[in-house]
Amino acid sequence: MDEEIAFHLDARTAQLVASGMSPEDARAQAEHEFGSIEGARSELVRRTRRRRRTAFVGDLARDVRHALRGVRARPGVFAVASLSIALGMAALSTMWTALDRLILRPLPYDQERTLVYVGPVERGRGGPAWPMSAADFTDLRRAARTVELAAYQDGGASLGGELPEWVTLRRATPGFFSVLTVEPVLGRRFVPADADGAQPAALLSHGFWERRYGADPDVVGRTVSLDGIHAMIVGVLPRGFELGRGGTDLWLSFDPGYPDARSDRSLIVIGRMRSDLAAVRQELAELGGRLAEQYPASNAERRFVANTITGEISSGPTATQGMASSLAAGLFVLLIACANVANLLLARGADRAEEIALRRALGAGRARIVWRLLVEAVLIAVVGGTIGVALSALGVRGLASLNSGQIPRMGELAVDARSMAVGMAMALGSVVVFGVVPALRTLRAGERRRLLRGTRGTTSRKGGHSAVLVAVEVGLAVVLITTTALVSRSFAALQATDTGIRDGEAWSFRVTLAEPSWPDEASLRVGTEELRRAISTVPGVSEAGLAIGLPGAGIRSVRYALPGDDAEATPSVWARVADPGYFDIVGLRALVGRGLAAADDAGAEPVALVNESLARELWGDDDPLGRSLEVQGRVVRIVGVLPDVREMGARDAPRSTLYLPLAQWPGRTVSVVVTPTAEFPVTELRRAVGALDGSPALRDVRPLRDVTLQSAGLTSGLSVVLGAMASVALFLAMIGVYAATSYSVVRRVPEIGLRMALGADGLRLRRQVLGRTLAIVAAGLAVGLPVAWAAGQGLSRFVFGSSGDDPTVYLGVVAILVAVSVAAAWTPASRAASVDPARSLRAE
Amino acid sequence: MPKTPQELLPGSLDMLVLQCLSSDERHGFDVSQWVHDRTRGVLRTPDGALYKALHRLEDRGWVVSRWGRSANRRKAKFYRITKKGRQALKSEREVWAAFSTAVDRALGAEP
Repeated sequence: MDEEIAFHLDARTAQLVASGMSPEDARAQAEHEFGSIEGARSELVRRTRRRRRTAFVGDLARDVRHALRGVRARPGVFAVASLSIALGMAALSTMWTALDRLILRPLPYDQERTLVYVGPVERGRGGPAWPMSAADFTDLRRAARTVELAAYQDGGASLGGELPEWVTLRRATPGFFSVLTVEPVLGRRFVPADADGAQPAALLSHGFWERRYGADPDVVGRTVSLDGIHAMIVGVLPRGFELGRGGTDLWLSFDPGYPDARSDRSLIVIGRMRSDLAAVRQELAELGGRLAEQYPASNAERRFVANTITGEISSGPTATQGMASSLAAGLFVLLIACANVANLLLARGADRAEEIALRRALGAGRARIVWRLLVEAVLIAVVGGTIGVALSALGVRGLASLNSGQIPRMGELAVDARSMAVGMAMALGSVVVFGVVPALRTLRAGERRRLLRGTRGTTSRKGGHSAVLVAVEVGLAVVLITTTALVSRSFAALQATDTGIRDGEAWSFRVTLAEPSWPDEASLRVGTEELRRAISTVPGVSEAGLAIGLPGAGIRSVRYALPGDDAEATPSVWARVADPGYFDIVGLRALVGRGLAAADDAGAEPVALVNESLARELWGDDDPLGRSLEVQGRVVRIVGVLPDVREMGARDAPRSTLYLPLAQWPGRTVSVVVTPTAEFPVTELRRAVGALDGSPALRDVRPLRDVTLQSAGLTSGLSVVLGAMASVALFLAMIGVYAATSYSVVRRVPEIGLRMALGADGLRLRRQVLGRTLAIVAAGLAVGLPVAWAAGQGLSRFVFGSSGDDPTVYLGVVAILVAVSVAAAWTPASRAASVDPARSLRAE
Repeated sequence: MPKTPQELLPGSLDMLVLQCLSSDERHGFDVSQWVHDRTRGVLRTPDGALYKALHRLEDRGWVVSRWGRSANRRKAKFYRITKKGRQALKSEREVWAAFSTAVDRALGAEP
C-alpha cells in the first residue's frame, strides 16, 4: 500500500522537477495534491486486507469444489486412498491411545516432572523405584531439605462381608497425597493423626467406590473390615488416580515406624522436589553417606538415588515393550497406507499433466497449482481420518477387551478428545507430507508437457517413484507379518508345551490367612486344616489340594545342606510345599518310593520328596531313598522320587526341586486347586471360606491351565493385536501392488498396443507385467527381510520360545507375499494381454 | 464555473476512473494524469481520493489489480477493468447523460 502511494508521489515529483521546479517544492506540491496521505493509506490497508480474506476463502471453496470434481471423476481412487488412510490411522491411533493412557500419562496429578522415586542401590542392585527400609525412609524424610518424601507399601486384604472379597490395598504415610497433590473428590486426605490411632483411615479408589458402593456419596464415615480389622473411610480418590503397577482398590494410612532392623525393605518412596533433580541427587548422596557412617553394619554399601516418575516409567517392564512393539506396528501400517496414498496421488497426477500444462500456460502460479493438488490430499485425509477415528474407537474397545490383567487399567481404555486430535493430526500430517512430493512431481510433469501437442509418446517413464513406493510398502509389510508370525508361533508353542502338570479340568485360587486371626505357625496349621475342611464340604467340589504357590505362579526357595557338609555352604533349591490332594490333582506320582500322605503331619517325622534332577544332582546314581537332608535347619528324610515337571511354568525348563508336606511347612498364603464335579462352585466356595476367622477371600480365581501357561495373556494379546495389524498391512500392500501395476499397464497401453501390432503375443506381455511386479516385490523383500530378522532378534528376548530365526516363518512370509502380489497383479496383467492394438493406436 | 472544482458530483470520479481504464490497463499515477488531462485541470481532485476510488472499485469487483513494472522499471500496481466494471460504466454513463440532458434542458428553458 505504502508502495503504491510512494510510487505516485515519486512519479509526480519527478514530473514537476522535469517542468523546472526545485525537488523540495516539487515534493511539497505532490503531497499537497495528494491530500491526506495518512487517511488514504489507512483506508487502502483496510480494504486490501478484507479483499485478501475473501479471496482466500473464495479460492479455497473453488479448490475444494475442484477437488470434489476430481473425486467424482475417479471415485475408486479416492475411496481406496481414504480407506488406506483410515486403516493406517486407526491402527496407529489405537496403539497410541493405549500407550498414551497406560504408559505416557498414567498419572493424572499435576506437576509430574517434580515428582521423583527415591530408592536404595546396594552393590549394583537397586534403583529409584526399589523398596526401602522403614528406618532409612524415616531418616531421609526427616533430614532431606531438597525433597519432601512420602512412602507406600503394597498389600492386600480380605474385605469382610457376606461374600468376602480380596482387595488390593496400599498403605501410605500420612503425607502421601499432599506430596502428590491429589485431592479426594469426596472427603479428605490423610492427616498425621490417622496414622496414630488404632483405627486406620481408608481412601477408596474411584473405581472401587463405584463397583463396591455404587458410588454412594454417603460412604465417608463408614467402617470397612479388612482382615478383620476395622478402618474408617475418610474419602474417595479422583477417577484414574493410579501409581505404579496394578490397580489399587483402597489406600490405608499407616506409620512405618522406626524399626531397628534396616534390612526389611518394603516401602516405595516418592518425593516432591523443592529444587532441581541434580540438587536432590546430591543431597541424597550426602545423606546416604552419613547413614553409612552411622549404621555401618547395614548401610555401609547403601546409597540412595532418585529419578523422575515419568523417567522411571518409560524404562518399564515387559508390558511396555509389548506396547511399544504394537505401537511400532501401528506406525508401520500408517506408513504403508501413506505409501499407498502417495502412489495413488502420483498416478492421478500423471493423468493431470495436461491440465496443469494448460493452467501454467494461462499464468497460474506454481504455489497455486501445488496448493490445489494438496487440497485433494487434505480431502483424503479428512475423510480417511474421520473413518479412522471411528475405526480406532472400535479398535480401542477391542483392545480393552483383551485385558489380560497384566497391564493396569487396560480395561478402562477409551478414546478421548486428545487421542482423537492426535489421530486426526497424524492422518492430516502424513497425507500432506506424502501429498507434497506427488504434487511437485505432477507440477514438473505438467511443465515438461508441451501444450497442445497432445501426444503422450509411446514410451513413457517407467514410473520409478511408484515402484520404489511399492517396494517400501512390501518391505514394511514383510517386517510386520514376520514379527507377527514369530509371536503367534511362540504363543502356539507355549500352549503346546507339556508341563508335566495335569491341569486340564482343575481350577485354582489363593487364600491368605490373615495375621490378626492366625498369628503363628501353630495357628496357621489349624487354619490350613479348617480351610481344607471348608472347601471339601462345598457341594460340587470333587477333589481339592493345597500348596504354597502353583506351577507358573511362584515357588518357595529353601536353603539346604547335606549331612556332613560344613555349615557355611548352604545352597538353595526350589521347594514345592503341598498336601497329598495337590499331588493327586496335578497327577504327580512317585517313580520310586512313596508319595506324601496325610500321615506326614506336624507330629510325624519330617519327610520330603525330590525330583529326578535333584536326586541326580545330590546323589548321582545312588538310591536317594532313606537319605536325609537338612532343610532350613530341619533334618528331613527322602521318601520318594518324582518325575521332573515344569514347576516354574511353561516358559521354564524343569529344574531341581524339593517337595515338602504342607502340614509340616505351613504358609500364610495358600494356593488351592479344585476339580469340580460340574461347574466350578465359586460363590459357594467364597461363602464357605469366608466363614473362617478373619473372613478370608478368594483371589486369583483362574483355571489352573492359565496359571501354568503363565502370562500367556500378554503373549496372546500381543499376537491378536499384531495379527490384526499384519492383516491390515497385507491388505494395504495388496492394494498398493494392484494400483501400481494396474496404473502402469494403463499408461503403457499405447506401447503395448504397438508391440502387439508388431507381433508380440499376449502371454509374453502378461509374463512381463507379472515379472515387473515380482521384481518390485523382490526388492521389497530384500529390504524387509533383514529388518524383520533384526526385529525378530529383539523380540526373542521377551517373547517365549521365539528364536527369531525360524526358517519356516521367513519362507512362509515370502510365499504369502509373492502369492498375494501375483494375485494382485493378475487382473492388470490380463488387461495388458488383451489390449486391442488397433484401438489403442487409433486413440493416439 | 464552480469555485471549487474538486467538488465532483458524487460517483462521477468512479465513472471517470472506469472510463480511463476501459481502454487500457494503467497504474494509479497514470490514471491521475489521465483524469487531469481530460478534464483540462478543471476537475482537480486530491490524488488520495483517486486511490480510495480505485480500491473501492476493486472491492466491488469492477476492476482487478496486479503488481507489475512501470515504464521506468519501478514496481507499480496496475488496474484493469472487468466485465462487471464495463456494465457499470455503461449504466452510469446512461444515468449521467439523462441527468445532464435534464439539467441542460432546465437551464435552457424559459424561466
